[in-house]
Amino acid sequence: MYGLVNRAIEQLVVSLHGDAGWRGVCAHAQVAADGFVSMHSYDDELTFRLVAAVSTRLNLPAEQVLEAFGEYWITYTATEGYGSMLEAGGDTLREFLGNLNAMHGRVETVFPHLQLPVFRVEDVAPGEYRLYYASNRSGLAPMVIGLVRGLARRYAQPVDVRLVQAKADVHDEDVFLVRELRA
Amino acid sequence: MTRGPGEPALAGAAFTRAFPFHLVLDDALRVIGIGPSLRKACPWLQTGTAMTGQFRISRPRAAATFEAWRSHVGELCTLHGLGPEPITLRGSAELGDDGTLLLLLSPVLQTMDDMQRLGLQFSDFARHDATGDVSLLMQTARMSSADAQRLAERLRSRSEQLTATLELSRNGFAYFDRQGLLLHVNSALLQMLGIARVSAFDLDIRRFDEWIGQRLAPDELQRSPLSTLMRGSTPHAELTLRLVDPKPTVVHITHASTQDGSVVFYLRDVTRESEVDRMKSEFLSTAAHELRTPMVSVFGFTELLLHRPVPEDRRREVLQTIHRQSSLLIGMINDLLDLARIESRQGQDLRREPIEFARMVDDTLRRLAGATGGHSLQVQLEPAHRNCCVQVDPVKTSQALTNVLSNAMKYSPAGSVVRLTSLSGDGLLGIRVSDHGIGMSTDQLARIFERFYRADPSGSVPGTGLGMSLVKEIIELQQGRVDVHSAPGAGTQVTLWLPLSAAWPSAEGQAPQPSAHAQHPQGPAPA
Repeated sequence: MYGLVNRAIEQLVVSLHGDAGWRGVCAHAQVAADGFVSMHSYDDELTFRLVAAVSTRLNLPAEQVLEAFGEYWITYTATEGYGSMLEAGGDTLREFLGNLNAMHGRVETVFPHLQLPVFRVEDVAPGEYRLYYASNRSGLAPMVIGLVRGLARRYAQPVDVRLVQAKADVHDEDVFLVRELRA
Repeated sequence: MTRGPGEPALAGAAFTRAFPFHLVLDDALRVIGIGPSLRKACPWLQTGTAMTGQFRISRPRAAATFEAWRSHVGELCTLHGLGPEPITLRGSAELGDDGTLLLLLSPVLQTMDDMQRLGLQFSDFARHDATGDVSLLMQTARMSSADAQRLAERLRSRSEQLTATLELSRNGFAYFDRQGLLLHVNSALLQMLGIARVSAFDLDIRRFDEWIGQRLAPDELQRSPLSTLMRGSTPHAELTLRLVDPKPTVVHITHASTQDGSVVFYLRDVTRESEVDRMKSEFLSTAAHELRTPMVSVFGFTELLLHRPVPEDRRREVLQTIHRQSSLLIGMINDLLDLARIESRQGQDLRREPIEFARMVDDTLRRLAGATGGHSLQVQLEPAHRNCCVQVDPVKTSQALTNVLSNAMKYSPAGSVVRLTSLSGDGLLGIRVSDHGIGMSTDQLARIFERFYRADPSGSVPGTGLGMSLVKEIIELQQGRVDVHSAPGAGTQVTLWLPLSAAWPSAEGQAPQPSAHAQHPQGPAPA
């Protein structure tokens, strides 16, 4: 996982429980609290240890932590570093999600050490579409829900998003149904 | 123009997807076609109008006519938009099948902000166009720079925290990297080994080892202690060494290696611990000797009474000796028990109560009556102090005063005068015992409160070396203070400063003279 993700977890914890809270999480996860380099690739296991530590210390289910983190990630990236990149992704949530794969494709060729997920969108009806998410990482579906919610807020487009099909042996993608709600 | 097999031709939507920033010009260099992405970035562009009025052309040079452009086909061309938002386009000029001039362009973007400013998105670029990627890289470079600054600041702050922590320590730390170069050292270590900070970083681990080796006591077998430690079979080997320079010190050295091959040495000054151990051993030996002497006497005389006929008058004399020696034994044992109890209970056993100052002194002197060893006790309490109340445990405080008086008499010639005077200052009331005895050197004075320390090592003056330790414990646990002034041959002054009872007005208020602290740097003067 690249450092920006770990750094966003740090920022989320600091925003909720201050620096001392973050140091506690790091101590719990047995991770040095020295900070992360945004574009450096870290072992996935480190990120999962951090999520598990936050879950234990905040007494929240890991899924809830991941979802909160996903939503925060969008807010965080928008304010620090990749705001203009998000701007360049599209004018609406649907457009952004549709362009996401091409954007990841560009990032992947520039930073070949990063392993980015693959997204695709399939329209179901006006204002309703399925989002397909394929990743070689497991257990991050709740984070995708948070990410979509964060993006929806960014585009001022209220949505209902839920996982309709989880990745399993027979499906290599998680499938989410996104319904746009009237603002 | 004809195309051979395998030579692709693009037209319509395919051409537009491949070149979304293209520009089509007629033979008068009028704009007759604009790619959709170029139109998005330059909404001010107009068709039917000369391109030269809408762009400044920096390459090719002298390309003011269609004919001039024809001679630069395939070369790099650079255009600068003359609209409200600055834009630079770069590409090449090609001739179309229909005789038009095609400029296949792409915007030059430095940052993602440029994309945003021109209202462009990733989808506006051809998939093969790396212009967006350059912006992405620039953005990443900026983020990496911010990361570097943030982490450097955090590291600096962490380093300051660690340095402050290590500087607080009285123990020494030295950290060497895998090449043996010194990375960090604290002041305690520099002081311990007499190394100037400015030259510390000239010492690598080998020279550091030599530096220590040159300062070891002559009988120390180790000459390269650090090397010895690092060669040790256990990861946390340790050594205790005696240094003679810059001052006699006993140093305990441990070390640890880190994963990257760095090594840290931890030097603990154990001089005092070693001295305490030595003094305890010495005390055990002294105490055993002191206890044995009266015990042998008691044993010998009781054996005499048991096995030999002793005349009645002699019998009484023997019993008196046995009694006296037994009393001495009990006194010594009581001192030991007192000290042990006071130390472990930290004053919780003390029963502090308001007591008149003069009464406390008088009671002590009354108990000493007949045990003055021929000394003359002169008591000169300031009248204003006599009725003041001090907040102390009367029994323990009297015991402390007795110990001080006993020392004054033991260490001064028989028949000499021992004076008791009173004084006040800082909300305390002092009782000062002054003798004209042998006095003490500065070194002896510095150790007077050390447990088991005796100013007279010859053993000719009876005592256990516990008396003044007891005095200090008793007085300080009651928020008092003990001051001692002495000089060889000039006698000794010991002042016990006792806290006034809270219910009692300050003694200064009653005393005619102000506190003597201000007048005498070494302490209050006698009243």
